[in-house]
Amino acid sequence: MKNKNEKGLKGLSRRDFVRMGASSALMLGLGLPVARAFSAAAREMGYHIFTWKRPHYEKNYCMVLVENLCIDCERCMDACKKTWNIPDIPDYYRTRILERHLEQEGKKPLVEFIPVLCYHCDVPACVYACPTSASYKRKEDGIVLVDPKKCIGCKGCMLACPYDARYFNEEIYAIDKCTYCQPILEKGGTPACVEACPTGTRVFGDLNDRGSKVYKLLHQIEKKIWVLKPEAETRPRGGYIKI
Amino acid sequence: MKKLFLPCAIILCLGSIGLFPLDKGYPQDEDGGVIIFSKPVKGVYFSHKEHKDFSCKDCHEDIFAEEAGAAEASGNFTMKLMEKGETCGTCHDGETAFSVKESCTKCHIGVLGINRLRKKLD
Repeated sequence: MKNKNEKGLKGLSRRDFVRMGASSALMLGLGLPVARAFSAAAREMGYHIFTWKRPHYEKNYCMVLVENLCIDCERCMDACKKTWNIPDIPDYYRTRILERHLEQEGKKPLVEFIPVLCYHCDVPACVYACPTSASYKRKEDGIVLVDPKKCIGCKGCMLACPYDARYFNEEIYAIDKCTYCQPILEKGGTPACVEACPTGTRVFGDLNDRGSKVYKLLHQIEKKIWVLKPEAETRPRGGYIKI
Repeated sequence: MKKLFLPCAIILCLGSIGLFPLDKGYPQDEDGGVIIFSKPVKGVYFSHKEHKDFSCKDCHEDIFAEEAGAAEASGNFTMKLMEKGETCGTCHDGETAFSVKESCTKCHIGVLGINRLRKKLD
């Protein structure tokens, strides 16, 4: 039964109103637990939906790059290529140095060198993009690795990564990327690029360890720290600082 | 005419050797030119032209040898020693010229800068 309303507005009968309220309450009552269960299941798999909480790693490895110390000697690139037997092709890099020229008045432009590498993001776009789960993120230390046996060479992860950190290695027919020298870290060593750097540009360590140099660098009051491309929302675990 | 042919040919051949200069990787100017260092780190350059206000013996008497590659081979071509006043640090101490502790990328142009420099010089 419809209400008779002189003004011409569409009215609602009391029955319809009550029906609407009941159905929305039912939807919320059933839907919210389903959504929470779905979110919990996704979190179990490593995906974060509706909420984002930083996962707890046993060893929270992080790389901090002190930008004003890099001189582009490329010893880090050479050490990386030598350690991991990467063919000497310019496009095959696990880490590389970018260059930036800042205009100055009346002087030659100031040159800055910016090392970039894989930051083993907390929300890794490459892992989500991989169709075969060849790309995976370790739970213990958050390092993102590629299983070359599962990689089919679709290069979806190369497109997904906002930092161009991955490349396709024709020799092993799989995607290759920086691994934070994970096999060396397991034995208690430091990554090859960190050891090779002569100026102290690359600082690497475990953020869980409050005495480590990385922790102290990142926790200075009034010191600006930044990451590259924060708008990509991948939450990279590698930042830049100027000392 | 026939008698002159052989000596002329010999002279021309010997003379044409002068058309092929020794390849040092970069053209040698009279003042010493541009030096590209690769030890102890790659990506460093030095330009004699930028130091044209000095005479040869201002530097080549006590501070540097004249032979190419002498500084790199000496083993004391490091930033620590420069900060103490050796080699480049003799003048680049902040008073005579900018200090070696600042403006790193003026000389450390990097491997990228060296590649561009080589293309420009060749």
